[in-house]
Amino acid sequence: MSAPGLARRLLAVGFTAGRRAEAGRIRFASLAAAAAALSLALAAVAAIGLAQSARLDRAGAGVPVLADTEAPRSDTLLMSPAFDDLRDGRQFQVFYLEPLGPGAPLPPGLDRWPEPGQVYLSPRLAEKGADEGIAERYGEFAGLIDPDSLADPGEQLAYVRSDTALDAERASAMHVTGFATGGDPAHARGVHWLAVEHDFSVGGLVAIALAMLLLPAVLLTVVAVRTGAELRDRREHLVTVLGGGRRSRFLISLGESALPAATGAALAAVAIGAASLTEFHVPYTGFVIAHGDLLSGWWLLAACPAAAGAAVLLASALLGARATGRRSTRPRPAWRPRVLLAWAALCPVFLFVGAVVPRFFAHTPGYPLSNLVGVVGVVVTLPAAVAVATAWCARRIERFGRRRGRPALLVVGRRIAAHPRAVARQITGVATGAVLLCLTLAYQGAFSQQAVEAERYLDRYGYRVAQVGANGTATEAQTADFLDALSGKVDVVSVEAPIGPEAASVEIAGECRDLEALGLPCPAPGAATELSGAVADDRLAHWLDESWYGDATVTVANASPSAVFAAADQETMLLVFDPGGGDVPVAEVKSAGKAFTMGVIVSAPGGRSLSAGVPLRDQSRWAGLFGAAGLVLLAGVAAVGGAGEFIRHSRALSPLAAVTGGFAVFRGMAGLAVWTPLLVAAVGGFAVGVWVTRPMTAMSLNLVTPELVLVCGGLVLVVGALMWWWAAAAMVAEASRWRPGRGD
Amino acid sequence: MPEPPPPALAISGLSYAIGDRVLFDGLDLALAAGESVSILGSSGSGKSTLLSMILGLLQADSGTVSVDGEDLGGLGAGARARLRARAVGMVFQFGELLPELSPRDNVALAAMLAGADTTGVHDRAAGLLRRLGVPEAATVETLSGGERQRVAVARALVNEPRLLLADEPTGALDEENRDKVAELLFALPAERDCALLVVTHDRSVAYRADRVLAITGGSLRPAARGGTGR
Repeated sequence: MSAPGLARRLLAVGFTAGRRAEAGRIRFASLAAAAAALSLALAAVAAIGLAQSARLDRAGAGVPVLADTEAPRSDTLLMSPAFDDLRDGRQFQVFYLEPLGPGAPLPPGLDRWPEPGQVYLSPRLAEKGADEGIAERYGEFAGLIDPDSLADPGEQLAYVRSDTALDAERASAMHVTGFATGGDPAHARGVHWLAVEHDFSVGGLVAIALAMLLLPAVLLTVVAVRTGAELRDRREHLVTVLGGGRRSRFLISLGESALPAATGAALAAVAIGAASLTEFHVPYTGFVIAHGDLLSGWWLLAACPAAAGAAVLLASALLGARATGRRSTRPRPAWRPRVLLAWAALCPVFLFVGAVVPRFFAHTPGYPLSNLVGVVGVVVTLPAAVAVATAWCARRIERFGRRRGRPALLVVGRRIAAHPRAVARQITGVATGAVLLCLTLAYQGAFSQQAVEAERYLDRYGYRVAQVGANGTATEAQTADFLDALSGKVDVVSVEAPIGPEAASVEIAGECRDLEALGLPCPAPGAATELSGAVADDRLAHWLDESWYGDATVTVANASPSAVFAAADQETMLLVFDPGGGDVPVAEVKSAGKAFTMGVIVSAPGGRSLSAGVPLRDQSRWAGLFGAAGLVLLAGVAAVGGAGEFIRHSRALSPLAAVTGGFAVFRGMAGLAVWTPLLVAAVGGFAVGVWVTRPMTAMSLNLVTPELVLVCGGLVLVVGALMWWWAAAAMVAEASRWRPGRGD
Repeated sequence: MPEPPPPALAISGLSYAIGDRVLFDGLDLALAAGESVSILGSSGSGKSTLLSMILGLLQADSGTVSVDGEDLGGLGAGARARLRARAVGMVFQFGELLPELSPRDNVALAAMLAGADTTGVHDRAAGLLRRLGVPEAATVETLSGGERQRVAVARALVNEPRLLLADEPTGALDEENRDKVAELLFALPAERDCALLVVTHDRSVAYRADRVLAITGGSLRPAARGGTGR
């Protein structure tokens, strides 16, 4: 037969063999799952690059070209940014616009100028802020910003044309003659600067995707290739005995794995295609990839399933051929229990160092250092501890099974006690993944101490008192309009005080009605009186404490807060209280702020740093998403590996089970061999992860939330339960087919 | 006068065909406790199919198979499994032992899987192994082929079956071990009051039985002496 003819025949032999339902199709499904996982992991990395590239292009188009001294006024746009947020605390930018002439450039996303007093919102901001009345917050809602011009569909942005002239001398005001294409998107004056600033760095995202998606997918491939491979090994051995060489085995292996690899890659290709053709909402993160961003690199995305399918085929052929060719008679290195025991004994020591020792070094460099030493030590010694614990537990399970007459416990316990490494690897992979996920999130949250304090403050006190300042200048008439809009809804006083802890005096001014509502004396109109004794209203007292004015002399004046507020400088603000003692209606106050040219800033005294932690929290969702996906893959690796081992070792029991009718033993055995290691890994891994990162999360934003732990742990257990059921069903079916004389 | 116990195995008018090929055509067999029978036959003659029908794993086209007085045809799958577990023990060609378990655990496992009362099962297993001359060992991996097959015999006996089946029980053994295992097997009917049915193509083993039959023309007939054995 000619060489091409023989190659085709060998491929066909492998292809036919691959269609057999070996090991209850677990082998087929594992190879297909590996190809799909590898495809999706590669596509995720590619998608990050594509989406980021398109995003930066659009963000770059929002960088203003600032007017030079010779630029004609009629071609200039006066643009002044302000910050605002919704109830969730995530900051966004509001750009106040004033075209100074007919040649002024329209900002990105607008095709006409808003009329004075009109506002354009990005679609996401309009949607998210609907229940806070965002459409009326800055003026009259005129329409949506073109989503194609936004950095991404999830960007929150507002353009406002105030009905009064902007302050051209304000430091942040920009005289703009155009918007650059290809400008630096991280330019602090760009329209989309904040959206880019809030993002995870693309390098960080790719690193997380590689570590949490691609690496587990590669592991799954390696394990899947060796799962349920007994028939394949026998086939290859036969080919070798018949004189077939490495090339023959390689071709048969290619043929055998072709269908599952192609199936997995094709399924992934369908999913990738579907995501590319729409505006793709990345689950859990809230991030939306714009329609067309992925399509622009369709060839790269199309290459992912193809490369993944090829990688699975190659792995299957190479690892199979290598396994058959292993003929060395060199003894395996002896198990060195003493060394292993020593490493295992160090694990609890490191756990103690990481979790308990730091508290003895509070507020010193020893705190993070001892935690770090403990964490690294735990990760390094965990595999040994798991192996020793596995062997110990298995011996006890075996004894219990023997004593109580439970065949599944006896058989599996004995099997694991004799060969603990396979199960220890199963547990270690998932447990280490859980610990590393906790670590990633803990480090992510470690930079957010101020934000945490703000969150705790708001959780405890809420907006019982709100500080209000104007963005830009405030006239008395504007302040009066602002107060009129809130009339009857809140009590308002103005406060004039130097900023900072050195403040020695605070002057509170207000109408008698408002002063009395706060338990303050009301002097004669225009007069002031010094407050003797403690402040009666606990909200006002709390504000004084939180604002470092606890020891300051408080003077009370009967004066219009609008006059004081408009006449004073930055050291004056308005304090707003709910008349019923509840939370101040922040959205209404902000909406009333449109009386000012550029709106208002509203904050609670201890909650001002909240916004700083929001991007960290949002970014952590990427780590959570990829971490959960990676854990599911690692659970898949462990479960598929466990199922393969279980099936391989359970076959010897088929005849006895068939004769005695004791098929139920396979369900118990599969539960112990496949599911229980994952249960131990999930519970143990997260327990260790949460405990060892506690010193970090105790004083910062705790991103290792119970919800995340429960969801990730639950997913691991679901994967394990699926493979438990599948492996048990495969063995029951195989044992049910057993007949005398078949030699198996 | 008490009614005599039913035969351990009674096969009557058994017929079975695979496509056009008739394996059994009115096959009959009765086997009482304390009696042994060997069935000889070339490959493909239907020996293993007959074992499958006795175990209730395969349905005949017609005829009946009764084990310990119970007609398998009238029983559901669960009841057949329970009857097998209670009344039938089987020795497989390759022993089919779990390599990590000790001989004692391998034997006890059969009782556990059968759902029998496992009180004292380990002592019973140890007694059987002693009686069959199997040494104590941590795992069966350290035993010789003959010793392993004796463990398999002990396992088949642990549930005190009325009917003991052996499928090529010496097929994987050398001559010396073959003779030891065969001697042991054929002593069991008298010793343990059970019936023994051995399927083999080894004449030197088969002729240790009380009766030697061969599947010929779809039924069991006394085998002609002769041949060279193995």
